[in-house]
Amino acid sequence: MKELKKISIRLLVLVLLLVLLNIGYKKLYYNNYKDINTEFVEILDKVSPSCKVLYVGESSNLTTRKDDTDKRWIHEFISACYPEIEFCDITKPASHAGTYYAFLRALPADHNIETVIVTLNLRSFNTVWIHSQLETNLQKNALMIQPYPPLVNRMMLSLKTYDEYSDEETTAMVMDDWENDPLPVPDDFPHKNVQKWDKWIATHGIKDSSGKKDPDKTILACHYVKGYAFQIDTLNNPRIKDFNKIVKLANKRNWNLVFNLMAENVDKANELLGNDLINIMDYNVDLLVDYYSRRGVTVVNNFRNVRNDQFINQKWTTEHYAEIGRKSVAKCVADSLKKFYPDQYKNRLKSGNIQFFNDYESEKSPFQGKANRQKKYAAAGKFSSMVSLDNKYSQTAVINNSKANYTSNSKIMVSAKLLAPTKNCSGLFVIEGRKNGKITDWRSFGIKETIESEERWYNFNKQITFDKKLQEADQVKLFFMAEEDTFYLDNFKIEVFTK
Amino acid sequence: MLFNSLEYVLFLPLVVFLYYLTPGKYRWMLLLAASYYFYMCWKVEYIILILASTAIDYYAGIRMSRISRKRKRRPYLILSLVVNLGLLFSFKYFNFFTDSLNLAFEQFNIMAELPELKVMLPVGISFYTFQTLSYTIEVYKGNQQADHHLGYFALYVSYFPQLVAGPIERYDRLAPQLRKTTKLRYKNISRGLRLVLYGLFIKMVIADNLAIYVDQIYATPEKYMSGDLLTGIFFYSFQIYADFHGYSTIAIGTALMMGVNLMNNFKTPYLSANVMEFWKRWHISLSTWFRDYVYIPLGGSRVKTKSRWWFNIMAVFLISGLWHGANWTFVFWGGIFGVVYLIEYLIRKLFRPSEVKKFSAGHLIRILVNFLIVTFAWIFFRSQSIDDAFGMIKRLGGQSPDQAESLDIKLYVWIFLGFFILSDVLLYNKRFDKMLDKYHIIMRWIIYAILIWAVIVYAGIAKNPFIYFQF
Repeated sequence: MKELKKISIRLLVLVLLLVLLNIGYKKLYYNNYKDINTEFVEILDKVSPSCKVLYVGESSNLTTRKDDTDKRWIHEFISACYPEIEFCDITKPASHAGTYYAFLRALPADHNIETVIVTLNLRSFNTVWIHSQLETNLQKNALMIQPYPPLVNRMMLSLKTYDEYSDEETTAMVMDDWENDPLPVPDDFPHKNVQKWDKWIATHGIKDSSGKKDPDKTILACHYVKGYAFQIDTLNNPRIKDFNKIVKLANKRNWNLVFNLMAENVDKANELLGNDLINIMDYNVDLLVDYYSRRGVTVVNNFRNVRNDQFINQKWTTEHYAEIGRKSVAKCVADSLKKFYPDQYKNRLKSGNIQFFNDYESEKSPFQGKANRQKKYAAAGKFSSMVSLDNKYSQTAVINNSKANYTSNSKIMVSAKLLAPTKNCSGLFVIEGRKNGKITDWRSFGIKETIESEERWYNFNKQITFDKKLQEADQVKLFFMAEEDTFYLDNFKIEVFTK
Repeated sequence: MLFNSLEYVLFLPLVVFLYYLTPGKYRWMLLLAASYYFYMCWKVEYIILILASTAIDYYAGIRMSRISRKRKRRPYLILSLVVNLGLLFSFKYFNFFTDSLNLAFEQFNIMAELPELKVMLPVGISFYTFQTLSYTIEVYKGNQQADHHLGYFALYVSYFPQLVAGPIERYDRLAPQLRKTTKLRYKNISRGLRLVLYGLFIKMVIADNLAIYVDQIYATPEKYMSGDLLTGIFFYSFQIYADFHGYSTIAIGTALMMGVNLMNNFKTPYLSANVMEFWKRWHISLSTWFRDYVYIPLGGSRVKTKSRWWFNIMAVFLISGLWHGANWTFVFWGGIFGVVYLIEYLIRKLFRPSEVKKFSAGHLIRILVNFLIVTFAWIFFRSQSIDDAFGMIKRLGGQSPDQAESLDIKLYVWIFLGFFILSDVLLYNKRFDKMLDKYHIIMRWIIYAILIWAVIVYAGIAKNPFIYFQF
């Protein structure tokens, strides 16, 4: 008994010592972010206690494109629609449901948060992201914001209570999943797993219109298969478990919960792999939307909401959008928040968009002029439009300035698919400004740089700002024209955005 | 389960608590269950190896105890040797053996591709097979009575504090202590905890922080200036010492909390004045094992010719090197010690240097020279191949890279390393837990506070399991 008493007293002193050390650690290190892996502590401290709507996301929130005139993040666009409500964000690149849960759990109870918008990234459910090498660092940082005394959190870090795998171990885990995880595909689908599918593409390649193997497209197609060919297992996928924890936490804290399902580059996936991959992506998207809607979460489905030209990374799979893409996503989220804040909504993202699009599959067209449809080449579907010396001008987009007040922040986005049967094709893309019927501005861009070789489809993209000359014109015309050579045009799209 | 893991921080107090709650005669069950659980945390299937080793040696021991003539006991000793060394060979040396043979065949243009076993090395296999072998050898020699209690014998083989990285305990030291019913004593708990804390400090703060720089240096030596390479090489000397000494200290502390005294595995080895002394102070449980079960059976020093004795010395060091790992680098490392040992012997014989006073200038110079020799040998121990080791040595005096990277060593790493070296000097021939008894209680608690703070706030958090687990 005497021995026990002696031990108990020493243990009590030890506890007291730990309490004192905790105070010291908090003051000297933790609160000043002076220790390692305190990045999340700092991020969390920046969340204002008076904030009402919290946006939680990864790099999709903060990534902008060089030519964006408005470089606001997605959450800032959403916030613009609710000027009277205080918004804030927690943005950490490469993060995922597990990271979001760590952040949300660590939010102090006295914060005034009413609504939490959480990024739901389809790709984050795949095995590559789950076993990413970035995970160790995220977990280390997440340990430091656990709801325990800071010294305990630091001890967890020192005791390495996080996952850490070597490159070889990670590769083995990913390869194992690619080999064994089932795909939601019909029985007669020729590729039984990701490994086989990937290998098949790498061997056979993605062909261009001339039937040759396109190395860039082949690599990209492999990325797409590895990125999106999976079947979400709602019982075992760690992301599902973490999102479920977020749902539970939101219920406990009485938050309105919104899952922002991010847009993926469906255009590119379709172009590279067609319905085979799209069907798998659709399957998982439907599953997520259904799974979380049934759990009372407002799921904003942005999956098909951003077009190819708005994806910043054209050689990789990301959810990084240019300005218009971010605005489109933000607009949908902002709309979904109306049910929580019906009186505070202001339509600050109205674009006044004018859109022209023709894939030449039907006779109908918003463009002016002759379509000149033909069947010899087609980037998608069966038809494209031929521009040649006989039909010198493509269809023309006519924008009437008198109907809208374009400013220097207004933009014209042009995208099209172009193919030339011969080398060094010499066509032009033309912008023509007219006032009172007279040409006041005329500028052209050669398509030679775009069409690198013959018999292949290339993406033509151009962004034009409404400068002073264009603003002064009462009518702006946009079209392609042939110089000496024939070329083909498909998926011709012109969008005009106003601020 | 690592000693420096959250699992162990929860596991240890729970086991100690239950240990003292359990009546004496049932404690072996608790400890055996805890030991098997501890081991299965790595890989559940590998418990079969321990069970097999236990069953064979238990059987061999019982059978040998019933036979009075030594010669007739021999088949059971052979059975134990074949099974234990067979397991060790299959899991640890098979691929090394086939790789070496393939390489040898290649030299003679023989195109034979011997197969490779794709198995993970069972953690601690070198330790528990040597421990259980010492039992059967002693029973065979008639120095030891066989254990008829399977439970206690199994516990001797698998006792968790020293199961995976030693100290390699002898049966006559450990088994009686496991049978004894220890009462809860403040002194045991207190001293045990002190050792655990000190062990965690030298593993997590010293070894793991140094490992960050050592790993950089050995991964890409071509990127660093010779000064940084030298720093990395010296850091490794302290890393491996702190790592293994830390493990042993935690093991001793853990056992002490349950009233079991494990043998000291390290006695400030870097304060040795020669290689012979170094091996009396470094990994003592292994060197004494090799002395008793390899060196002496080979004839030891009582052989007819000097050359035979030299052979015995070299054989022990080479085998000891191979014990550390299935790679020629370890054999080479053992060879260096063998050669230096014999050179030192010749110098003593030829020049008869006078004895020097402890910690006199002459003694300190010898300590320094010995430390440099040991550090040089560690280069081979740490490198992936002998070529890499020589490459590293060449770089020390070679050209500097055009755009050299810097190690950028944090100040606190130097401070703690200094603290560790100082504490090692202070602990010369003493043990940390006992030394603290001499200090005033306030001083003791200040030391606890510093160590706890260092362990929590300054632990190196790169991925570094205990180095000796791979052996």
